[in-house]
Amino acid sequence: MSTDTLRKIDQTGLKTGHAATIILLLAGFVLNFWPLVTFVALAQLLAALDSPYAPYRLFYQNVIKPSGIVKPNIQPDNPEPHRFSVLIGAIVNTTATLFLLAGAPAIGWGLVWVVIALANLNFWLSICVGCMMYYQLNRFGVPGFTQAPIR
Amino acid sequence: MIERILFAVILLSVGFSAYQWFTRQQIKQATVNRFTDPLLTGLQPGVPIILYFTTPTCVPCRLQQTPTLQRLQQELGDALKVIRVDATENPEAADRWRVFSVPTTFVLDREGHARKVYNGVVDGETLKRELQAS
Repeated sequence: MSTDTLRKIDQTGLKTGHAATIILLLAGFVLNFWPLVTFVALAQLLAALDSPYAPYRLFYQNVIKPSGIVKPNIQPDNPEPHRFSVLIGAIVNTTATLFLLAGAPAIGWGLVWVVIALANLNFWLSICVGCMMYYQLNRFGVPGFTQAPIR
Repeated sequence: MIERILFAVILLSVGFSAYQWFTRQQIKQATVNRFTDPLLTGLQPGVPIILYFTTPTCVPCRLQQTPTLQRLQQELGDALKVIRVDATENPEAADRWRVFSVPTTFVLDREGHARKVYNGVVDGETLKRELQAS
């Protein structure tokens, strides 16, 4: 695939989402407040569905971007692997919520910490484990994983 | 709540410290490699080096890091040597330099001392500042 066929993504928008995920999940853990985990799961699900009402998107477009705190960094990229990545986050956080509600806090918060660790990797080092998984699934020819890595 | 804050702070600090320790090891190893590594033999002395590890499937390398380094090389000309290493073609080199992800970019000064390692994408301005300070 040539870079011409790629859509453009604001990398700063992605980083804002990672930062929000880290802060909200840390706050949820510290306050022992499971609804924050559910909120992050929902926000991630809406982001994975590319909804215009995704909270992270609204927060970036209406608060962060106009404030000028950070500069937009628009780069050609495939959005699908990033959406897949947040979908994985949504699934893990939903599972964590269920464990927390079922009275298994160790497993629930353990899963939350997995998401915190992965979001940190993505935020600080641009290592997107979900994207790597997406491209591996594409390599194996799994239906639905249509975007190949750029060569 | 105090114990939860402490737990979070300790866990984050451990992660941060582990990463700092690892990058220090990478820099230490890079300084040793400068005088022995086959990738760097026969280079003109007195020229700073950027050693850039990538793979063909690395999207941020292709879209961000490679164009940044190309622009920097064009701008600085002979005052900079950029060496690009495909970690899939040369996994031994990636092991020697303790590369665990791509892109990874080492900055070596005129004397061959490793000044900095960037695991992940680094912008051109940061690299230029690092090169000017070297």
